[in-house]
Amino acid sequence: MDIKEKNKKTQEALVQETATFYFLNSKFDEAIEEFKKVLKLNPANVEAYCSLGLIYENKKQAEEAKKMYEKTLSLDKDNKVAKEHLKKLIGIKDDDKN
Amino acid sequence: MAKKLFGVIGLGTFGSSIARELFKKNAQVLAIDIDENIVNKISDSVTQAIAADATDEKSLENAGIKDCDTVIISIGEDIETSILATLIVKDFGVKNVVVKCVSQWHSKIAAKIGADKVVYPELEMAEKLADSMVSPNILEQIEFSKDYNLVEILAPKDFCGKTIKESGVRNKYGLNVIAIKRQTPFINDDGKTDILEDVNVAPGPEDDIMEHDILVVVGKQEDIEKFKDNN
Repeated sequence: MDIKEKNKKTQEALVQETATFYFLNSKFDEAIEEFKKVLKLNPANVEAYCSLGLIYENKKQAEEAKKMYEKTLSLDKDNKVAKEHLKKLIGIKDDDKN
Repeated sequence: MAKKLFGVIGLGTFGSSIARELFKKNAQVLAIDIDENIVNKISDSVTQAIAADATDEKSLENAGIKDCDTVIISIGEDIETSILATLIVKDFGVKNVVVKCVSQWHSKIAAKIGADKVVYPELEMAEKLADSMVSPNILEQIEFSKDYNLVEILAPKDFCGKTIKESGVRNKYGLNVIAIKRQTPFINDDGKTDILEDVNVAPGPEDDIMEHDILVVVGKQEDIEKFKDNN
């Protein structure tokens, strides 16, 4: 990894840490801005998409939340958090025998 | 205490779901449908599943419908069959007969011939869906009585950062907050961000309302409407 790439990764990790800090403190508007910055640095950051989904879901912005979970699953099809929340959002119930 | 015996006649989506749910809740369930394939499909999820014609008195008697404490008739699509089955089951002397209806006329006829309760799952769902589309801040609404409702409502912006008392929900609107649902962000065992729902049941007047909280509120329908209009 060249030095430029390495710096970008470090910067991504730092911004993600800030975003997560805001998320954990329910400062959702600030967290959205920071997660968006993470995605500018790395458009394939699964965690950022999923966290944005959780925030939009919490803000009752269902369409946006759905888009974020779908994006998460397009990058990581087994992502448990995105799968569960997307199901809940759409209203799908697990049923065995139907 | 002996387990209650429920009969479910008609195993479409509604009938089979109610039969399975009752069985999961530890009740004895006798499930009946004219279609053998449907009966075979549900046989592991109920106490007994039998293929029988709901309009044939003898078949229903042989199936054991007479012994049921409650019978749910969920033949919505074919009103004639639903009415005949209701009549037969009431004639058997079953104490509690619940009929799934698809229209007002269906329910009126069912009531006339002795149904103890009529339900309209499709109409009720449609009303709920329409409510949630017209008032997106109302997340759930349950009718307590003709005048009183219980609603789940997103905390209005004006309330955030205030206590229940300071918000004036009771003084100004005459509503009681019986629970506060709060979404709490956390890091799960896999190290991923996630959100958990906490419920504060019977909150006190000094409890805080925060942004994105969901308030579970009880009050008169007119007061709830006033609250909705002002927030």
